Amino acid sequence: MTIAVREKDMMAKTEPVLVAEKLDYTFPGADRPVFGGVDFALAKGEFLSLVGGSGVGKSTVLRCAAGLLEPGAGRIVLQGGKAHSGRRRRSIVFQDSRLLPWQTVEANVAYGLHGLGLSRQEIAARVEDALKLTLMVDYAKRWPSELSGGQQQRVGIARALAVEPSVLLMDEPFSAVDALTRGRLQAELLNIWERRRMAVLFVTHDIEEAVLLSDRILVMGGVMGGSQPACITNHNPVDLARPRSRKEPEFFRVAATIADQLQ
Amino acid sequence: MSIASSIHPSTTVSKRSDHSIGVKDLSRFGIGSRRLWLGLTGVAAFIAIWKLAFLFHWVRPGTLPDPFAVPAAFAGEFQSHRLLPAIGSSLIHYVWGLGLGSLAGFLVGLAAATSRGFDDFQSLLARILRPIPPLAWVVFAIAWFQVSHAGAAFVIAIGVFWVNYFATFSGVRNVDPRHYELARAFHQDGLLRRIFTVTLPAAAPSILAGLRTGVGQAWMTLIAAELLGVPGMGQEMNAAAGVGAYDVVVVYMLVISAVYGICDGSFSIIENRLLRWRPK
Ligand SMILES: Nc1ncnc2c1ncn2[C@@H]1O[C@H](COP(=O)(O)OP(=O)(O)O)[C@@H](O)[C@H]1O
Ligand SMILES: [Mg+2]
Repeated sequence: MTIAVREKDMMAKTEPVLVAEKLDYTFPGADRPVFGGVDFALAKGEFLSLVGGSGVGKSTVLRCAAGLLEPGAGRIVLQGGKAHSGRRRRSIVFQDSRLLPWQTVEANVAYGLHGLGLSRQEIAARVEDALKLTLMVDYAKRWPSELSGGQQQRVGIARALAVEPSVLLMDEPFSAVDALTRGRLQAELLNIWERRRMAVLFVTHDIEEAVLLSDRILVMGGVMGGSQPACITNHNPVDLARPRSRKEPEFFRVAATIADQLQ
Repeated sequence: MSIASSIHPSTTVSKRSDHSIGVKDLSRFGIGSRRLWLGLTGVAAFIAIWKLAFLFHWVRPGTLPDPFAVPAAFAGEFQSHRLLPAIGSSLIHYVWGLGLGSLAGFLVGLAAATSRGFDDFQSLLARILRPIPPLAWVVFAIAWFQVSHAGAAFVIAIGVFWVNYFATFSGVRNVDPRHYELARAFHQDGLLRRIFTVTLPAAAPSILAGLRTGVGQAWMTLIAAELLGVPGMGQEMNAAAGVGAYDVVVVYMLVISAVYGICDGSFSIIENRLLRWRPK
Protein backbone atom coordinates (compact mmCIF):
# COMPACT_ATOMS: atom_id res chain seq x y z
CA MET A 1 0.00 0.00 0.00
CA THR A 2 1.45 3.37 -0.96
CA ILE A 3 1.65 6.26 1.43
CA ALA A 4 -0.78 8.29 -0.66
CA VAL A 5 -3.46 5.64 -0.39
CA ARG A 6 -2.87 5.31 3.31
CA GLU A 7 -3.40 9.04 3.77
CA LYS A 8 -6.59 9.00 1.77
CA ASP A 9 -7.71 6.12 3.94
CA MET A 10 -6.99 8.09 7.09
CA MET A 11 -8.99 11.02 5.82
CA ALA A 12 -11.88 8.82 4.89
CA LYS A 13 -11.86 7.40 8.36
CA THR A 14 -12.55 10.72 9.98
CA GLU A 15 -15.80 11.18 8.10
CA PRO A 16 -18.54 9.82 10.37
CA VAL A 17 -21.32 7.58 9.03
CA LEU A 18 -23.11 6.90 12.28
CA VAL A 19 -23.06 9.12 15.33
CA ALA A 20 -24.57 8.32 18.71
CA GLU A 21 -25.29 11.43 20.72
CA LYS A 22 -25.83 11.15 24.48
CA LEU A 23 -27.87 7.98 24.22
CA ASP A 24 -29.91 6.98 27.17
CA TYR A 25 -32.21 3.97 27.35
CA THR A 26 -34.60 2.71 30.01
CA PHE A 27 -36.50 -0.53 29.54
CA PRO A 28 -40.25 -0.17 30.01
CA GLY A 29 -40.98 -0.72 33.68
CA ALA A 30 -37.35 -0.39 34.81
CA ASP A 31 -36.60 2.24 37.45
CA ARG A 32 -33.33 3.47 35.97
CA PRO A 33 -31.65 3.65 32.59
CA VAL A 34 -29.46 0.74 31.45
CA PHE A 35 -26.97 3.32 30.20
CA GLY A 36 -26.75 7.07 29.95
CA GLY A 37 -24.76 9.63 27.98
CA VAL A 38 -23.40 7.15 25.49
CA ASP A 39 -21.47 9.08 22.84
CA PHE A 40 -19.49 7.76 19.94
CA ALA A 41 -18.94 8.27 16.25
CA LEU A 42 -18.35 5.52 13.75
CA ALA A 43 -16.19 6.70 10.86
CA LYS A 44 -16.58 5.65 7.26
CA GLY A 45 -14.93 2.29 6.76
CA GLU A 46 -13.92 2.03 10.39
CA PHE A 47 -13.96 -1.17 12.44
CA LEU A 48 -15.12 -0.12 15.87
CA SER A 49 -15.66 -2.53 18.75
CA LEU A 50 -17.74 -2.10 21.84
CA VAL A 51 -16.56 -4.33 24.69
CA GLY A 52 -18.04 -4.76 28.12
CA GLY A 53 -19.19 -7.34 30.62
CA SER A 54 -22.32 -9.36 30.22
CA GLY A 55 -25.52 -7.42 30.90
CA VAL A 56 -23.87 -4.00 30.74
CA GLY A 57 -26.10 -2.91 27.85
CA LYS A 58 -24.03 -3.55 24.71
CA SER A 59 -26.83 -5.22 22.79
CA THR A 60 -29.18 -2.44 23.78
CA VAL A 61 -26.78 0.20 22.41
CA LEU A 62 -26.54 -1.79 19.20
CA ARG A 63 -30.33 -2.06 18.92
CA CYS A 64 -30.57 1.71 19.29
CA ALA A 65 -27.93 2.11 16.58
CA ALA A 66 -29.93 -0.27 14.37
CA GLY A 67 -33.12 1.73 14.88
CA LEU A 68 -34.80 -1.24 16.58
CA LEU A 69 -35.11 0.63 19.87
CA GLU A 70 -35.88 4.29 20.29
CA PRO A 71 -33.46 5.83 22.80
CA GLY A 72 -35.11 7.60 25.72
CA ALA A 73 -32.81 10.55 25.22
CA GLY A 74 -30.17 11.44 22.69
CA ARG A 75 -30.20 10.32 19.09
CA ILE A 76 -28.59 8.29 16.36
CA VAL A 77 -27.53 10.25 13.29
CA LEU A 78 -26.73 8.62 9.98
CA GLN A 79 -24.53 10.60 7.64
CA GLY A 80 -22.87 10.45 4.27
CA GLY A 81 -25.31 8.10 2.55
CA LYS A 82 -25.39 7.82 -1.19
CA ALA A 83 -27.98 6.18 -3.38
CA HIS A 84 -30.30 4.45 -0.96
CA SER A 85 -32.29 5.84 1.92
CA GLY A 86 -31.01 6.09 5.49
CA ARG A 87 -33.09 3.15 6.60
CA ARG A 88 -31.21 0.85 4.30
CA ARG A 89 -27.73 1.95 5.17
CA ARG A 90 -27.52 -0.17 8.29
CA SER A 91 -27.82 -3.88 8.62
CA ILE A 92 -27.39 -6.19 11.52
CA VAL A 93 -25.99 -9.60 12.43
CA PHE A 94 -27.44 -11.11 15.56
CA GLN A 95 -25.77 -13.33 18.12
CA ASP A 96 -28.13 -16.16 17.25
CA SER A 97 -27.98 -16.38 13.47
CA ARG A 98 -31.72 -15.77 13.41
CA LEU A 99 -32.28 -17.34 10.04
CA LEU A 100 -35.87 -18.03 9.09
CA PRO A 101 -35.96 -21.83 9.31
CA TRP A 102 -38.70 -22.07 6.66
CA GLN A 103 -36.64 -20.32 4.02
CA THR A 104 -33.69 -21.76 2.16
CA VAL A 105 -30.26 -20.22 2.60
CA GLU A 106 -30.62 -18.12 -0.55
CA ALA A 107 -34.08 -16.90 0.41
CA ASN A 108 -32.73 -15.91 3.82
CA VAL A 109 -29.91 -13.96 2.19
CA ALA A 110 -32.40 -12.25 -0.11
CA TYR A 111 -34.67 -11.39 2.80
CA GLY A 112 -33.63 -7.75 3.19
CA LEU A 113 -33.63 -7.08 -0.55
CA HIS A 114 -37.38 -6.97 -1.04
CA GLY A 115 -38.81 -3.51 -1.41
CA LEU A 116 -35.56 -1.94 -2.62
CA GLY A 117 -36.77 -1.82 -6.20
CA LEU A 118 -34.24 -4.39 -7.38
CA SER A 119 -34.98 -6.68 -10.29
CA ARG A 120 -35.03 -10.44 -9.89
CA GLN A 121 -31.62 -10.68 -11.57
CA GLU A 122 -30.14 -8.00 -9.35
CA ILE A 123 -31.40 -9.79 -6.26
CA ALA A 124 -29.98 -13.09 -7.48
CA ALA A 125 -26.65 -11.45 -8.26
CA ARG A 126 -26.44 -9.83 -4.84
CA VAL A 127 -27.33 -13.07 -3.11
CA GLU A 128 -24.70 -14.97 -5.02
CA ASP A 129 -22.14 -12.28 -4.32
CA ALA A 130 -22.87 -12.33 -0.59
CA LEU A 131 -22.78 -16.12 -0.48
CA LYS A 132 -19.43 -16.10 -2.28
CA LEU A 133 -17.98 -13.63 0.19
CA THR A 134 -19.08 -15.82 3.07
CA LEU A 135 -18.00 -19.07 1.35
CA MET A 136 -21.54 -20.42 1.38
CA VAL A 137 -22.40 -20.62 -2.34
CA ASP A 138 -22.57 -24.39 -2.27
CA TYR A 139 -25.26 -24.28 0.39
CA ALA A 140 -27.68 -21.91 -1.36
CA LYS A 141 -30.50 -24.46 -1.61
CA ARG A 142 -30.16 -25.90 1.88
CA TRP A 143 -32.46 -25.36 4.84
CA PRO A 144 -30.88 -23.60 7.83
CA SER A 145 -31.48 -26.69 9.97
CA GLU A 146 -29.04 -28.55 7.74
CA LEU A 147 -26.16 -26.20 8.57
CA SER A 148 -23.67 -26.11 11.44
CA GLY A 149 -23.69 -23.19 13.85
CA GLY A 150 -20.74 -21.55 12.10
CA GLN A 151 -22.38 -21.94 8.69
CA GLN A 152 -25.61 -20.44 9.97
CA GLN A 153 -23.67 -17.47 11.24
CA ARG A 154 -22.03 -17.07 7.83
CA VAL A 155 -25.47 -16.98 6.23
CA GLY A 156 -26.53 -14.36 8.79
CA ILE A 157 -23.53 -12.28 7.71
CA ALA A 158 -24.34 -12.85 4.03
CA ARG A 159 -27.90 -11.62 4.63
CA ALA A 160 -26.55 -8.44 6.22
CA LEU A 161 -23.99 -7.93 3.45
CA ALA A 162 -26.52 -8.43 0.66
CA VAL A 163 -28.16 -5.09 1.38
CA GLU A 164 -24.73 -3.51 0.83
CA PRO A 165 -24.78 -1.50 4.03
CA SER A 166 -22.43 1.33 4.77
CA VAL A 167 -22.77 0.39 8.45
CA LEU A 168 -22.71 -3.22 9.57
CA LEU A 169 -23.85 -3.80 13.14
CA MET A 170 -22.75 -7.06 14.75
CA ASP A 171 -23.88 -8.32 18.15
CA GLU A 172 -21.41 -10.92 19.44
CA PRO A 173 -21.74 -12.77 16.14
CA PHE A 174 -19.15 -15.41 16.97
CA SER A 175 -19.77 -16.04 20.65
CA ALA A 176 -21.96 -19.09 20.10
CA VAL A 177 -19.53 -21.04 17.88
CA ASP A 178 -16.58 -23.22 18.88
CA ALA A 179 -13.14 -21.64 19.25
CA LEU A 180 -11.72 -23.10 16.05
CA THR A 181 -14.63 -21.92 13.93
CA ARG A 182 -14.55 -18.56 15.67
CA GLY A 183 -10.93 -17.98 14.61
CA ARG A 184 -11.81 -18.85 11.03
CA LEU A 185 -14.89 -16.60 11.00
CA GLN A 186 -12.85 -13.69 12.41
CA ALA A 187 -10.32 -14.04 9.60
CA GLU A 188 -13.12 -14.25 7.02
CA LEU A 189 -14.82 -11.19 8.44
CA LEU A 190 -11.58 -9.17 8.19
CA ASN A 191 -11.20 -10.32 4.64
CA ILE A 192 -14.75 -9.19 3.76
CA TRP A 193 -14.27 -5.89 5.56
CA GLU A 194 -11.07 -5.21 3.64
CA ARG A 195 -12.86 -5.82 0.36
CA ARG A 196 -16.11 -4.04 1.09
CA ARG A 197 -14.85 -1.36 3.44
CA MET A 198 -18.17 -0.82 5.20
CA ALA A 199 -18.01 0.62 8.70
CA VAL A 200 -18.48 -2.05 11.36
CA LEU A 201 -19.79 -1.62 14.88
CA PHE A 202 -18.87 -4.86 16.56
CA VAL A 203 -20.15 -5.79 20.00
CA THR A 204 -18.21 -8.42 21.94
CA HIS A 205 -17.25 -9.43 25.45
CA ASP A 206 -14.07 -11.05 24.12
CA ILE A 207 -11.14 -8.63 24.51
CA GLU A 208 -8.78 -10.55 22.23
CA GLU A 209 -11.40 -10.65 19.51
CA ALA A 210 -11.79 -6.88 19.74
CA VAL A 211 -8.01 -6.31 19.61
CA LEU A 212 -7.64 -8.65 16.67
CA LEU A 213 -10.33 -6.96 14.60
CA SER A 214 -10.69 -3.32 15.52
CA ASP A 215 -9.33 0.09 14.58
CA ARG A 216 -10.73 1.39 17.82
CA ILE A 217 -12.19 -0.16 20.96
CA LEU A 218 -14.80 1.43 23.18
CA VAL A 219 -15.09 0.06 26.68
CA MET A 220 -18.51 0.10 28.23
CA GLY A 221 -18.93 -0.28 31.96
CA GLY A 222 -21.18 0.35 34.89
CA VAL A 223 -20.32 3.30 37.05
CA MET A 224 -19.90 2.77 40.82
CA GLY A 225 -19.98 -0.98 40.54
CA GLY A 226 -23.08 -1.03 38.37
CA SER A 227 -25.32 0.99 40.66
CA GLN A 228 -25.36 3.81 38.09
CA PRO A 229 -26.33 3.62 34.41
CA ALA A 230 -23.48 2.28 32.28
CA CYS A 231 -21.54 4.49 29.91
CA ILE A 232 -18.52 4.45 27.63
CA THR A 233 -15.57 4.56 30.02
CA ASN A 234 -12.62 4.40 27.59
CA HIS A 235 -11.73 4.99 23.94
CA ASN A 236 -8.74 2.97 22.73
CA PRO A 237 -7.23 3.39 19.28
CA VAL A 238 -5.56 0.14 18.24
CA ASP A 239 -2.39 1.02 16.33
CA LEU A 240 -1.25 -2.52 15.61
CA ALA A 241 -0.34 -3.27 12.01
CA ARG A 242 -2.57 -5.69 10.11
CA PRO A 243 -2.61 -8.61 9.74
CA ARG A 244 -2.37 -9.02 13.47
CA SER A 245 -1.18 -11.96 15.46
CA ARG A 246 -2.31 -12.90 18.93
CA LYS A 247 1.24 -14.00 19.67
CA GLU A 248 2.89 -10.59 19.46
CA PRO A 249 3.81 -8.81 22.70
CA GLU A 250 2.14 -5.62 21.46
CA PHE A 251 -1.11 -7.51 21.07
CA PHE A 252 -0.87 -8.61 24.69
CA ARG A 253 -0.10 -5.10 25.82
CA VAL A 254 -3.25 -3.67 24.20
CA ALA A 255 -5.38 -6.56 25.48
CA ALA A 256 -4.02 -6.10 29.01
CA THR A 257 -4.78 -2.38 28.94
CA ILE A 258 -8.39 -3.08 28.02
CA ALA A 259 -8.69 -5.83 30.58
CA ASP A 260 -7.58 -3.32 33.22
CA GLN A 261 -10.18 -0.83 32.05
CA LEU A 262 -12.87 -3.47 32.41
CA GLN A 263 -12.06 -4.10 36.06
CA MET B 1 -52.51 -15.96 28.96
CA SER B 2 -55.68 -15.55 26.97
CA ILE B 3 -58.98 -17.14 27.67
CA ALA B 4 -58.97 -19.08 24.45
CA SER B 5 -56.32 -21.52 25.53
CA SER B 6 -57.79 -22.00 28.97
CA ILE B 7 -61.35 -22.81 28.03
CA HIS B 8 -61.03 -26.33 26.91
CA PRO B 9 -57.83 -28.17 27.64
CA SER B 10 -59.07 -31.25 25.84
CA THR B 11 -59.08 -29.43 22.51
CA THR B 12 -55.35 -28.97 22.63
CA VAL B 13 -54.21 -29.99 19.21
CA SER B 14 -51.65 -32.71 19.39
CA LYS B 15 -49.48 -34.39 16.84
CA ARG B 16 -50.89 -37.62 15.58
CA SER B 17 -49.89 -40.62 17.62
CA ASP B 18 -49.53 -44.25 16.67
CA HIS B 19 -53.15 -45.01 15.93
CA SER B 20 -53.24 -43.07 12.70
CA ILE B 21 -51.19 -44.37 9.85
CA GLY B 22 -49.25 -41.52 8.34
CA VAL B 23 -47.40 -41.77 5.08
CA LYS B 24 -44.03 -42.14 6.72
CA ASP B 25 -45.29 -45.07 8.76
CA LEU B 26 -46.13 -47.00 5.62
CA SER B 27 -42.48 -47.73 4.98
CA ARG B 28 -42.42 -49.60 8.25
CA PHE B 29 -44.95 -52.00 6.81
CA GLY B 30 -42.48 -53.61 4.46
CA ILE B 31 -43.12 -57.28 3.82
CA GLY B 32 -41.48 -59.49 6.40
CA SER B 33 -41.41 -56.83 9.06
CA ARG B 34 -42.49 -57.89 12.49
CA ARG B 35 -44.88 -54.98 12.60
CA LEU B 36 -46.71 -56.08 9.48
CA TRP B 37 -47.14 -59.66 10.61
CA LEU B 38 -48.18 -58.76 14.10
CA GLY B 39 -50.55 -56.19 12.68
CA LEU B 40 -52.21 -58.74 10.41
CA THR B 41 -52.39 -61.15 13.34
CA GLY B 42 -54.19 -58.49 15.35
CA VAL B 43 -56.76 -58.02 12.61
CA ALA B 44 -57.17 -61.79 12.23
CA ALA B 45 -57.67 -62.18 15.98
CA PHE B 46 -60.36 -59.51 15.92
CA ILE B 47 -62.17 -61.23 13.06
CA ALA B 48 -61.86 -64.58 14.85
CA ILE B 49 -63.43 -63.21 18.02
CA TRP B 50 -66.15 -61.61 15.94
CA LYS B 51 -66.82 -64.92 14.18
CA LEU B 52 -66.98 -66.71 17.54
CA ALA B 53 -69.39 -64.11 18.84
CA PHE B 54 -71.50 -64.70 15.74
CA LEU B 55 -71.38 -68.51 16.03
CA PHE B 56 -72.05 -68.72 19.74
CA HIS B 57 -74.62 -65.92 19.92
CA TRP B 58 -72.76 -63.70 22.38
CA VAL B 59 -75.21 -60.96 21.45
CA ARG B 60 -78.87 -61.15 20.49
CA PRO B 61 -79.12 -63.29 17.32
CA GLY B 62 -79.64 -61.29 14.17
CA THR B 63 -77.86 -58.17 15.47
CA LEU B 64 -74.34 -59.25 14.57
CA PRO B 65 -73.46 -60.12 10.96
CA ASP B 66 -71.14 -62.92 9.93
CA PRO B 67 -67.76 -61.27 9.24
CA PHE B 68 -67.38 -63.47 6.16
CA ALA B 69 -70.65 -62.14 4.79
CA VAL B 70 -69.31 -58.60 4.70
CA PRO B 71 -67.51 -58.83 1.31
CA ALA B 72 -70.72 -60.05 -0.33
CA ALA B 73 -72.67 -57.26 1.32
CA PHE B 74 -70.07 -54.82 0.02
CA ALA B 75 -70.48 -56.16 -3.51
CA GLY B 76 -74.24 -55.93 -3.17
CA GLU B 77 -74.16 -52.31 -2.06
CA PHE B 78 -71.76 -51.46 -4.84
CA GLN B 79 -73.77 -53.20 -7.56
CA SER B 80 -77.07 -51.73 -6.44
CA HIS B 81 -75.54 -48.26 -6.98
CA ARG B 82 -76.03 -47.16 -3.43
CA LEU B 83 -72.43 -47.14 -2.15
CA LEU B 84 -70.78 -44.60 -4.45
CA PRO B 85 -73.67 -42.10 -4.41
CA ALA B 86 -73.68 -42.32 -0.62
CA ILE B 87 -69.94 -41.65 -0.47
CA GLY B 88 -70.34 -38.81 -2.97
CA SER B 89 -73.16 -37.27 -1.01
CA SER B 90 -71.24 -37.50 2.25
CA LEU B 91 -68.21 -35.93 0.63
CA ILE B 92 -70.24 -32.94 -0.54
CA HIS B 93 -71.19 -31.78 2.92
CA TYR B 94 -67.88 -33.02 4.30
CA VAL B 95 -65.86 -30.83 1.94
CA TRP B 96 -68.10 -27.79 2.36
CA GLY B 97 -68.32 -28.09 6.13
CA LEU B 98 -64.63 -28.80 6.54
CA GLY B 99 -63.58 -26.07 4.13
CA LEU B 100 -65.75 -23.29 5.47
CA GLY B 101 -65.30 -24.25 9.12
CA SER B 102 -61.52 -24.48 8.78
CA LEU B 103 -61.30 -21.20 6.91
CA ALA B 104 -63.47 -19.37 9.43
CA GLY B 105 -61.61 -20.89 12.41
CA PHE B 106 -58.28 -19.98 10.88
CA LEU B 107 -59.30 -16.38 10.13
CA VAL B 108 -60.88 -15.74 13.51
CA GLY B 109 -57.96 -17.40 15.32
CA LEU B 110 -55.47 -15.34 13.31
CA ALA B 111 -57.33 -12.11 14.00
CA ALA B 112 -57.69 -12.87 17.71
CA ALA B 113 -54.03 -13.73 18.03
CA THR B 114 -52.80 -10.64 16.20
CA SER B 115 -55.19 -7.99 17.43
CA ARG B 116 -55.41 -7.37 21.14
CA GLY B 117 -58.66 -5.47 20.65
CA PHE B 118 -60.30 -8.22 18.65
CA ASP B 119 -59.12 -10.78 21.19
CA ASP B 120 -60.79 -8.86 23.99
CA PHE B 121 -63.90 -8.52 21.88
CA GLN B 122 -64.26 -12.22 21.10
CA SER B 123 -62.81 -14.10 24.05
CA LEU B 124 -65.88 -13.98 26.30
CA LEU B 125 -68.11 -14.96 23.42
CA ALA B 126 -65.79 -17.86 22.62
CA ARG B 127 -65.90 -18.94 26.23
CA ILE B 128 -69.71 -19.07 26.08
CA LEU B 129 -70.08 -20.79 22.70
CA ARG B 130 -67.16 -23.18 22.80
CA PRO B 131 -68.62 -25.77 25.21
CA ILE B 132 -71.72 -26.33 23.05
CA PRO B 133 -71.19 -29.64 21.22
CA PRO B 134 -71.53 -29.35 17.44
CA LEU B 135 -74.39 -31.85 17.44
CA ALA B 136 -76.42 -29.61 19.70
CA TRP B 137 -76.65 -27.30 16.68
CA VAL B 138 -78.47 -29.96 14.68
CA VAL B 139 -81.76 -28.54 15.89
CA PHE B 140 -81.00 -25.21 14.25
CA ALA B 141 -79.41 -26.84 11.25
CA ILE B 142 -82.71 -28.56 10.52
CA ALA B 143 -84.75 -25.46 11.35
CA TRP B 144 -82.72 -23.23 9.05
CA PHE B 145 -81.56 -25.51 6.29
CA GLN B 146 -84.08 -28.37 6.52
CA VAL B 147 -82.59 -31.80 5.98
CA SER B 148 -79.98 -30.83 3.42
CA HIS B 149 -76.32 -30.74 2.53
CA ALA B 150 -76.17 -27.22 3.90
CA GLY B 151 -77.51 -28.34 7.28
CA ALA B 152 -74.99 -31.15 7.61
CA ALA B 153 -72.19 -28.88 6.42
CA PHE B 154 -73.22 -26.31 8.99
CA VAL B 155 -72.95 -28.79 11.86
CA ILE B 156 -69.58 -30.06 10.62
CA ALA B 157 -68.31 -26.52 10.17
CA ILE B 158 -69.05 -25.65 13.77
CA GLY B 159 -66.94 -28.51 15.04
CA VAL B 160 -63.92 -27.84 12.85
CA PHE B 161 -64.22 -24.12 13.42
CA TRP B 162 -63.21 -24.50 17.06
CA VAL B 163 -60.39 -26.90 16.39
CA ASN B 164 -58.86 -24.55 13.83
CA TYR B 165 -59.55 -21.47 15.86
CA PHE B 166 -57.57 -22.78 18.83
CA ALA B 167 -54.76 -24.24 16.74
CA THR B 168 -54.27 -21.03 14.77
CA PHE B 169 -54.58 -18.86 17.85
CA SER B 170 -51.96 -20.72 19.84
CA GLY B 171 -49.66 -21.14 16.83
CA VAL B 172 -49.69 -17.44 16.07
CA ARG B 173 -49.40 -16.38 19.69
CA ASN B 174 -46.34 -18.58 20.11
CA VAL B 175 -44.35 -17.17 17.20
CA ASP B 176 -40.87 -16.33 18.45
CA PRO B 177 -40.78 -12.52 18.80
CA ARG B 178 -37.18 -12.55 17.62
CA HIS B 179 -38.47 -13.34 14.15
CA TYR B 180 -40.53 -10.17 14.23
CA GLU B 181 -37.46 -8.22 15.32
CA LEU B 182 -35.62 -9.67 12.36
CA ALA B 183 -38.41 -8.55 10.03
CA ARG B 184 -38.10 -5.05 11.46
CA ALA B 185 -34.32 -5.01 11.22
CA PHE B 186 -34.51 -5.86 7.53
CA HIS B 187 -37.47 -3.58 6.83
CA GLN B 188 -39.78 -6.44 5.95
CA ASP B 189 -42.37 -5.49 8.53
CA GLY B 190 -45.23 -4.30 6.35
CA LEU B 191 -48.39 -6.09 7.52
CA LEU B 192 -48.72 -8.54 4.64
CA ARG B 193 -45.02 -9.19 4.25
CA ARG B 194 -44.74 -9.87 7.97
CA ILE B 195 -47.74 -12.21 7.94
CA PHE B 196 -46.50 -14.17 4.94
CA THR B 197 -42.80 -14.36 5.76
CA VAL B 198 -42.99 -14.78 9.53
CA THR B 199 -46.40 -15.30 11.14
CA LEU B 200 -47.89 -17.96 8.88
CA PRO B 201 -44.76 -20.08 8.31
CA ALA B 202 -43.87 -19.96 12.00
CA ALA B 203 -47.39 -20.94 13.02
CA ALA B 204 -47.75 -23.49 10.21
CA PRO B 205 -46.98 -26.60 12.29
CA SER B 206 -49.76 -25.72 14.71
CA ILE B 207 -52.18 -24.56 12.00
CA LEU B 208 -51.66 -27.74 9.98
CA ALA B 209 -52.06 -29.94 13.05
CA GLY B 210 -55.38 -28.16 13.63
CA LEU B 211 -56.50 -28.70 10.05
CA ARG B 212 -55.61 -32.35 10.26
CA THR B 213 -57.46 -32.82 13.53
CA GLY B 214 -60.42 -31.15 11.82
CA VAL B 215 -60.22 -33.60 8.92
CA GLY B 216 -60.82 -36.40 11.43
CA GLN B 217 -63.29 -34.60 13.60
CA ALA B 218 -65.44 -33.63 10.63
CA TRP B 219 -65.94 -37.32 9.82
CA MET B 220 -67.17 -38.04 13.31
CA THR B 221 -69.64 -35.17 13.23
CA LEU B 222 -70.67 -35.95 9.68
CA ILE B 223 -71.86 -39.48 10.35
CA ALA B 224 -73.73 -38.37 13.46
CA ALA B 225 -75.38 -35.53 11.51
CA GLU B 226 -76.39 -37.89 8.72
CA LEU B 227 -78.09 -40.29 11.11
CA LEU B 228 -80.75 -37.60 11.23
CA GLY B 229 -81.55 -38.15 7.58
CA VAL B 230 -79.22 -36.08 5.38
CA PRO B 231 -78.33 -38.36 2.47
CA GLY B 232 -74.95 -40.03 2.76
CA MET B 233 -73.23 -42.95 4.39
CA GLY B 234 -74.66 -42.27 7.83
CA GLN B 235 -78.18 -42.31 6.44
CA GLU B 236 -77.57 -45.52 4.46
CA MET B 237 -76.27 -47.07 7.63
CA ASN B 238 -79.34 -46.01 9.53
CA ALA B 239 -81.63 -47.31 6.80
CA ALA B 240 -79.82 -50.66 6.71
CA ALA B 241 -80.05 -50.98 10.49
CA GLY B 242 -83.78 -50.28 10.26
CA VAL B 243 -84.29 -53.42 8.17
CA GLY B 244 -81.84 -55.49 10.19
CA ALA B 245 -79.15 -55.55 7.47
CA TYR B 246 -76.27 -55.36 9.92
CA ASP B 247 -73.77 -56.64 7.37
CA VAL B 248 -74.50 -53.49 5.32
CA VAL B 249 -74.00 -51.39 8.44
CA VAL B 250 -70.56 -52.93 8.81
CA VAL B 251 -69.82 -52.24 5.14
CA TYR B 252 -70.46 -48.54 5.71
CA MET B 253 -68.44 -48.53 8.91
CA LEU B 254 -65.46 -49.94 7.06
CA VAL B 255 -65.92 -47.57 4.14
CA ILE B 256 -65.97 -44.64 6.56
CA SER B 257 -62.72 -45.89 8.00
CA ALA B 258 -61.18 -46.26 4.54
CA VAL B 259 -62.26 -42.83 3.32
CA TYR B 260 -60.93 -41.27 6.51
CA GLY B 261 -57.65 -43.11 6.01
CA ILE B 262 -57.34 -41.72 2.49
CA CYS B 263 -58.16 -38.16 3.60
CA ASP B 264 -55.77 -38.27 6.52
CA GLY B 265 -53.01 -39.89 4.48
CA SER B 266 -53.33 -37.28 1.72
CA PHE B 267 -53.26 -34.54 4.28
CA SER B 268 -50.16 -35.91 5.89
CA ILE B 269 -48.40 -35.84 2.50
CA ILE B 270 -49.32 -32.18 2.10
CA GLU B 271 -48.27 -31.45 5.67
CA ASN B 272 -44.89 -33.09 5.27
CA ARG B 273 -44.32 -31.22 2.06
CA LEU B 274 -45.16 -27.84 3.59
CA LEU B 275 -43.06 -28.50 6.68
CA ARG B 276 -40.09 -30.04 4.94
CA TRP B 277 -37.89 -27.28 6.35
CA ARG B 278 -38.20 -28.73 9.81
CA PRO B 279 -35.18 -30.59 11.19
CA LYS B 280 -35.55 -34.31 10.64
N1 LIG C 1 -36.45 -6.69 27.34
C1 LIG C 1 -35.83 -6.29 28.48
N2 LIG C 1 -36.55 -5.81 29.52
C2 LIG C 1 -35.96 -5.40 30.65
N3 LIG C 1 -34.64 -5.46 30.86
C3 LIG C 1 -33.86 -5.94 29.88
C4 LIG C 1 -34.40 -6.38 28.64
N4 LIG C 1 -33.40 -6.81 27.85
C5 LIG C 1 -32.28 -6.63 28.56
N5 LIG C 1 -32.54 -6.11 29.78
C6 LIG C 1 -31.56 -5.75 30.80
O1 LIG C 1 -30.77 -4.71 30.30
C7 LIG C 1 -29.42 -4.93 30.61
C8 LIG C 1 -28.57 -4.84 29.37
O2 LIG C 1 -28.89 -5.89 28.49
P1 LIG C 1 -28.05 -6.15 27.17
O3 LIG C 1 -28.03 -4.91 26.36
O4 LIG C 1 -28.62 -7.36 26.54
O5 LIG C 1 -26.60 -6.46 27.75
P2 LIG C 1 -25.32 -7.07 27.03
O6 LIG C 1 -25.60 -7.19 25.58
O7 LIG C 1 -24.23 -6.11 27.34
O8 LIG C 1 -25.05 -8.39 27.66
C9 LIG C 1 -29.31 -6.27 31.29
O9 LIG C 1 -29.09 -6.07 32.66
C10 LIG C 1 -30.64 -6.92 31.05
O10 LIG C 1 -31.03 -7.63 32.19
MG1 LIG D 1 -25.80 -8.91 24.41
